[in-house]
Amino acid sequence: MNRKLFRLAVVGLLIGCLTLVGSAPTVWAQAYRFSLDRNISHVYVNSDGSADIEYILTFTCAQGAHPIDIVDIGLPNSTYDLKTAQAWFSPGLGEGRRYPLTDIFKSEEVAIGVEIHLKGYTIQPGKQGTLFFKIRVREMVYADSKDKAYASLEFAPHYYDKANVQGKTFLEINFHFPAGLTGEETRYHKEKYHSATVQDGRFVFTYVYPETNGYTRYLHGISFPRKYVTQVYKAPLLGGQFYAVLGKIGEFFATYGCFGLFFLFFFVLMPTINSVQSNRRKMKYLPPSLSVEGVGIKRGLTAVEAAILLETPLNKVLTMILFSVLKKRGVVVLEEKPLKLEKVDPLPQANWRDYELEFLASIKPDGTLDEKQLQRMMVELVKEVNAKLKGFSRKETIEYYKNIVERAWQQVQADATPELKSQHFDQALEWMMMDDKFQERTQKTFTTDTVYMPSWWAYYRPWRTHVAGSRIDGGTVSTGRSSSGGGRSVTLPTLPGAAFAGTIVSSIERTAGGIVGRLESFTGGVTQVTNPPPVSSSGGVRSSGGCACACACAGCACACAGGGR
Amino acid sequence: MSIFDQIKRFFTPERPLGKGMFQYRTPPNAPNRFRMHLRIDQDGTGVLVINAAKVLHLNQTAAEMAKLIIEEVPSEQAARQIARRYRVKREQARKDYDDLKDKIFLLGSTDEICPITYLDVQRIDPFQTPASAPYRMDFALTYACDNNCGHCYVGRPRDFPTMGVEEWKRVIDRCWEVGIPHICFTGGEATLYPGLRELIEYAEDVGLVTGLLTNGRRLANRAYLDGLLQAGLDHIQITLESHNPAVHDEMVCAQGAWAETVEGIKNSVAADVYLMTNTTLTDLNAPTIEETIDFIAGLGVRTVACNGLIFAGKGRDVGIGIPEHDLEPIMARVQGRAKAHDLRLIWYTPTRYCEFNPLEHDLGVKGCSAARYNMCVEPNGDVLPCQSYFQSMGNILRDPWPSIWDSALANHIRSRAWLPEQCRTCPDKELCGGGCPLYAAEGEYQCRDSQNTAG
Repeated sequence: MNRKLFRLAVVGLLIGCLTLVGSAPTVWAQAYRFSLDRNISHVYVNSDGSADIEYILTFTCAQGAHPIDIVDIGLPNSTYDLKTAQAWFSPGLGEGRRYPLTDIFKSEEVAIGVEIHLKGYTIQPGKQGTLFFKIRVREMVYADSKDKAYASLEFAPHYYDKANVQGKTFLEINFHFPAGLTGEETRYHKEKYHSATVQDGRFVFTYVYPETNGYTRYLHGISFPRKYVTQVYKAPLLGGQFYAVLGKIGEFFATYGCFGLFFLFFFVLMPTINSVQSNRRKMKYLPPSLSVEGVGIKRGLTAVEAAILLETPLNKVLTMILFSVLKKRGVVVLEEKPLKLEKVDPLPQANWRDYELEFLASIKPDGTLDEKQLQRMMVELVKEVNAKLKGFSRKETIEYYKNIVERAWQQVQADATPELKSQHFDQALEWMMMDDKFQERTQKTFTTDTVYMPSWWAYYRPWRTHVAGSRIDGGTVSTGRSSSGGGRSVTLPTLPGAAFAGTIVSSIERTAGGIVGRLESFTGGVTQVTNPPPVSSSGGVRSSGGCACACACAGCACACAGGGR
Repeated sequence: MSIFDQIKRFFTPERPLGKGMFQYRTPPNAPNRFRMHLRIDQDGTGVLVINAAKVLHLNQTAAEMAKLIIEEVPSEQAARQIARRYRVKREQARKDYDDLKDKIFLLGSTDEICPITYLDVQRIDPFQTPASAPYRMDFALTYACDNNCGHCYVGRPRDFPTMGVEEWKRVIDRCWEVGIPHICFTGGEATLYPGLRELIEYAEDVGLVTGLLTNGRRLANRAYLDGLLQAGLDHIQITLESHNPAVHDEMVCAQGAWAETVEGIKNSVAADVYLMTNTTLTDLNAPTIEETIDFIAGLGVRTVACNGLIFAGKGRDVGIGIPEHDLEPIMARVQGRAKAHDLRLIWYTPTRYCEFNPLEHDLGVKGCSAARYNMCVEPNGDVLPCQSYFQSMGNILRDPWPSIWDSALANHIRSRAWLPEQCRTCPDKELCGGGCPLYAAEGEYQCRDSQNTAG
């Protein structure tokens, strides 16, 4: 409850207290206080859908309490027939003589029920007496909600207010089925009966609670085939429980008068109104969102650059660079293990990327690769890719290149002829090498067809003129290894698809595995430069600033006379 | 609040925050220092500008939370406030508040993280989001200048009437009121304006980020430079046309200018202020641009900028500009050199993407931002679409801001209504924007497609 409402409530409380002076004195009067020693009820189902209800209620009036002069008994619904009501009183446990009671009226205390005036048999404080009561309630049998062929009846014995009743109560409820039922036709609701007997030719379900209290409601029910009654009734919308609640509210006001009204207003109504009105006046909440201007996909990256973006393992990236250089005829592989290369001199005319030239520069005189130089090359490549991504959405760009890889596979797989397959595979090899499932997909793609080895294969395996199991009927190519040595013509093989796939995959794997000594230390040497631990920047705000990577910032996209940061 | 006010408030629906401008500066001893400005618009949405460079667009909730973040309201209190105004549980409000605060502070403290990929920031297309004011206002304090550049874009006489300091202060106040977080003092030559230091100090006190666009000559006087920095000047751009004194002096038509400009650069480097140089590419300096960049790097400058000739003022007729379609090889050299020295390179000029596509050359999105992200106040208080576009949209002291921002000219430029027919159907239109409208207006503009003679 918010602060302002609380203040109002306190004010109301004070006002309410003042009104107590003039309020009904019932709050301060002697209260009824008793123990309900026994609460025994019998419900006899009649064939016309009515039920005869009988009560045996034993009270002990508490010391100092108001004598029990009137007993109220609630009934299941308002269709009770007051003319059928009968009551008797017997002192103690009711084993002696029973004295008839004639003052039985509609109750003023309970919403649906009767009040029985004991009159001369008023139970005085400290004394015990037993009331016998019976009445017929007309509409007691209803259509069963679960089985159309059945009829139901539910009953809860009357219970008293916790403020009035004390001690333990022996509670017994007996349901007497219509005559003629068989045992199999009887049903109970929810809780199974505690005992089942036959009394006067009728099945009886009994529930016993030997030491309960007098203020708890125990609702039980039975069902039986409809044919045993001539009439079933519709269950009322508002049952007795509703009226019981209404009665409680009425009791509350009767007891506490205006104070109760203020209490209800400030502690029930006001918070409710406050809550509803608060919600109405508040604005709809959408989670906070940030957005920034950016361009989307960075197109035009090479396969190697895309591999960096896709965080491909660096040994694979190096292998891709090697293959891209091989395809441009810039290098020849001399040996596989250890990997030894020889630069082609002069370098053929081609669109050489910086990283390719740096790769070539890392080839030592003995043909092995200078790993430190490769690391430096890789650092520059990573920085270059990051710089290219500035202003673009990294996320969208990654998806774009993943899609390119996928489409490359789809193209090759869809190619109808071995020639086309080989051609497209050759063209897109670096893209497909990025795929984690390169091995598996290559083997699936090339199964049975004959495949032509790529034209640059001779630079990769110049010492092999054929592969076991192949047909030597491919084209020839000159390796052109050096201008002084003269070229050597090599006849390129074709291979059955599976052999081709195996060759490519294993070759690439061997190369990637041997291109650097230890991958972890190689990668670490790169990442410690490209992803260093964060270091606090020195200097003030003036020396910081600049555009974020995905921002077409005002400073940069501004008037051409300059001016941004 | 009286009880009647409380009752009234109880029945009054909550409304978005009103228009306002708020700023935050990290404490002087913070490890990662930055400044933020939050502009909240009429509808409750906001724009957060970090370091006068990074622009984030905020929805209503984010704008309200950003205001609380700037006011350094503790999480619990902020959550209570948000839960009072929005249909949200306090716990959720607190969580969202903390998350947003972390994101904003991370974006403020580093440029290395892609906000879209790693911070769940949404991407929106450039130039598409309506705004209520530019992010930067250039203050052309005076058109007087101690240089006499042959390609000068200023299309006004040098003795153009200029406002006094007090009037400029009111202009500063107006800029803050409409939500502009950043001003750059320019001209002519802003350092010739006597009240420059006072204006810098005033603007910084109000809360704006201040920059200076200058030929750098007066900054050769270290004491003068220190005075500007003590006033709170945030960043400086110095125009250096060439490493070669003769070429520079020829371009600026002032003997001895180069020496003073270089001294100004050296002083600024030593003063550890955020500094960049700018070079206008022309036929005179383009052939040796690499040496110029080497020279600039040698001075200790970390950020270099280039722009093409501006087709205004004398620039219209000087005839030494590089046509857009010839920019590629020159920029490739510029980029190569900048990369070699690990310099940050900024390319300013908006060009037609069919002629020179900055995206393809990793120069970022470039489009005309006049009357959108930046505008210019002339010495007499008139507001121009940009420093080079000499048509007034109104006077900032006399005319209400909406009449300036929504003037016919502003809308004409923003909507690219000046584009020729062929550009209107181009798929790159939104990003390209047609290049510079001044370039188009001067007859240099011909759509490449329109030059096809096939058939």
